[in-house]
Amino acid sequence: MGVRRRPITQLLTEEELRRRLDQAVRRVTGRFDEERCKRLIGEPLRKVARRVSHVPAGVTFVRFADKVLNSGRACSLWPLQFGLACCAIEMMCTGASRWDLDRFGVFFRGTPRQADAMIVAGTVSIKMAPVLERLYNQMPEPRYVLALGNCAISGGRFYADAYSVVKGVDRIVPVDIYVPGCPPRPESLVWGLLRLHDVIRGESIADPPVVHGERPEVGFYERLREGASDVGEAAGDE
Amino acid sequence: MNEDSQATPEQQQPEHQPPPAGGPQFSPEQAALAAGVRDLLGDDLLSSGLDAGGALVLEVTAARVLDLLGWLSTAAEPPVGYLSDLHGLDSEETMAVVYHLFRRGEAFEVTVKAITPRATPRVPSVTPLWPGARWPEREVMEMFGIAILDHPDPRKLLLPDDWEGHPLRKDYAYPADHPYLAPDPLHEDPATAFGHAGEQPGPEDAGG
Amino acid sequence: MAAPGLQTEELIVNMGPQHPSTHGVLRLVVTIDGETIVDCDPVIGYLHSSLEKIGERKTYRQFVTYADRFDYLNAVGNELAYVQAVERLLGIEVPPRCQYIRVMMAEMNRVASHLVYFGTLGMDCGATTVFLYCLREREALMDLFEHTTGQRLLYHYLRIGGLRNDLPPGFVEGLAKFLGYFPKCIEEYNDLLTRNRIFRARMEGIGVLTAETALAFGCSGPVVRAGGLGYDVRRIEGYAVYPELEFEVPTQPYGDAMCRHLVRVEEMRQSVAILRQCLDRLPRGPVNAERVPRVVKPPPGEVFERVESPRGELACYLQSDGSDKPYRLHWRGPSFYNLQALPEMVRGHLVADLVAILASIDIVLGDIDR
Repeated sequence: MGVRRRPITQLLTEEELRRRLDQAVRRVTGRFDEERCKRLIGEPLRKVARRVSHVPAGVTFVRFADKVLNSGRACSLWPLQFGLACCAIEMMCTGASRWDLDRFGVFFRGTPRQADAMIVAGTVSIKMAPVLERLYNQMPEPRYVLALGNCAISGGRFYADAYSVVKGVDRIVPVDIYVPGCPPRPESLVWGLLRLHDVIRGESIADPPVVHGERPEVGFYERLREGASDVGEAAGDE
Repeated sequence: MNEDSQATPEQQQPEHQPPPAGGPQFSPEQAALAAGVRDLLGDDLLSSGLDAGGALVLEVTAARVLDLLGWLSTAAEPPVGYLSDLHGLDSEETMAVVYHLFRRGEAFEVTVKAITPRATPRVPSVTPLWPGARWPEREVMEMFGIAILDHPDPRKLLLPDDWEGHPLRKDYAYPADHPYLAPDPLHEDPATAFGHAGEQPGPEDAGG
Repeated sequence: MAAPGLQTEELIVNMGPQHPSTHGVLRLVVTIDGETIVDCDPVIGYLHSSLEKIGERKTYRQFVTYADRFDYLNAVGNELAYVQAVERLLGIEVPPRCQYIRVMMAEMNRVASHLVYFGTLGMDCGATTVFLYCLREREALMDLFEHTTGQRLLYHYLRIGGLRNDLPPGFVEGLAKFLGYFPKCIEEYNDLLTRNRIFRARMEGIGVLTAETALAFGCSGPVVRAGGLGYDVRRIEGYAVYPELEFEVPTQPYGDAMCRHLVRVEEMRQSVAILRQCLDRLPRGPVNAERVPRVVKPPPGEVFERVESPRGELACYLQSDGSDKPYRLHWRGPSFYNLQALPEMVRGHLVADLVAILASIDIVLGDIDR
């Protein structure tokens, strides 16, 4: 009766398949890509937060919003499984029964798309460096990097004499927390994660945006404390 | 920590065993094996000796090494057929590929060194005899630059595909200006940053 | 297997180097036809730390800390191979108490390494509970190591000519207590995993590697013993005090993944027996050899020293030219040769079997990539 039936299995040529896939991908990502989200949601939110802070009770509102968001991020930090060498064994021990990481909400993920943090545990060799960079790029914001062990901090015992070891993972990606040791004890890793919690809780929705993983030099609360002219009640006086 | 650190400076070297008089002392089995190898290879057997662990060490020219290893692993009585390790060696004038062979399930070891000149190092592949030689030979090719002839898969193994240079050669120059690999230029003199060749033993060498 | 008349294509899939189940930074380029593996090409080198070049640039004493990070789950075994090689070049003999303590440390390390193997095997097969139980027992061993050496994982305890220090008070009692309850724990793990019907269905009959093929690839350790040949370097070379100890070398007949697993479980029990004997027979005396030179300069010579690591035959080739640094230092890693046999083991199996087979070989990337 004029109903258009499509065959169940439609054998597409290679080009047609590729064209349709490209179209579908563009339709989906065109709506939700990171740049667009930042432009439509992040920036206005930041502007609103900064304006709101001009009102006497506004900073309280910003603080409350920050507390909620930051607690959520810190209390369920999902690192990417990125154990490279001996430090990975200590990371495994930290996640095991004695120093349980699950009680901090830390749950290791296998794919960078679902991870908040990357714990680089072990020696980064020159062959692994592009892989590390690609994984970091695949992680969505906000993302944090914790360099575990001397090899990840500076190349460690391989600083001299090794032709194939990257002298510190901070040559490739920006690092937030350095946990020294060879290998660091599990308590050190827990300490590092708690310091990462401090970093996370010190952030604000009113901070300048994160560009390519580089966090702003001076965050919102620091500028508030210093009495900067565009945040807080000092701005509201004008 | 080290209870014997009362060694006075005059007694720096302990009295180690003096080398046995009259050349290396082969066991009867080793002597028989060395004789068999000499019959097989003639002048291509450059030397035979013992190492510090008592294993037989045979140095042969690289072109004949496949014959020798084939003979050792099949025709020798009893055969020495387990390849435990394969690696390269960069001596002053020559280069070598070293094969560590064991009799199966025994401690009887034969170390074979395939000597090849430094200018054009070439050694035949032993993968026809042992499939387990593929990866170590790939490593020898990239680390020493020794050409392994007729290797089924001559790709790089441990280094990135675009790596230049052969790192385990004695005259290898470190990549001194690579952004990831060079030590911090602000705090290190690149000329001396890599390696501590020629340093006198420091306090870290004292004690245990 | 494709239905007849249906044309399929092969697909090349990449596993790693970042992957939860590859036991480190290993990349497997797997060619599959549907779900069946046609070929598998391991790509290594993602942890290459130029260990052999460093060996030529550090003094003999300085290198011990690098040695124990070669196969980082078996630090004592690496140190043992290296230190025995240097002592052979120097012509030093260490006292019997030192030998017994070295064997004790090595066997404790073997148990610890097998516990990690057990736990990660369970995790790879989906049973995450086993991992937590195994690491709980391993913590007891880590405490003993820390009490003695100061470090949990990479000890730097074996030195040229002896040990760093004698056993501290409380070590013998602690180890005896551990050995008292550990066999029951092995039974617990067997209940959780080895006798588990799902685990057996996943592991039996896959990844078969006969002993002959294994030896042709240069494999050693449980990979060969699972095929029926009882080759154990502790028996063959008889280094340290192993000739005086009574222990069995476990073997299994079929060479599949389950046999490798059973060999390792039995090895844990045998290590417990060895540790008990060592505790009973521990002699008194010094732990360092006399007259070890302050600056270690062995006379020119070479040596190839093998030990039995939990993964197989671990060896150190050391050539000295009379100076205070080695001329050539090469490490033979058991996992390097064991992994070469992986393509043989996985052809025709499913992708999920690949994970189980890889876990059953028990590789550590440190001794593959050096």
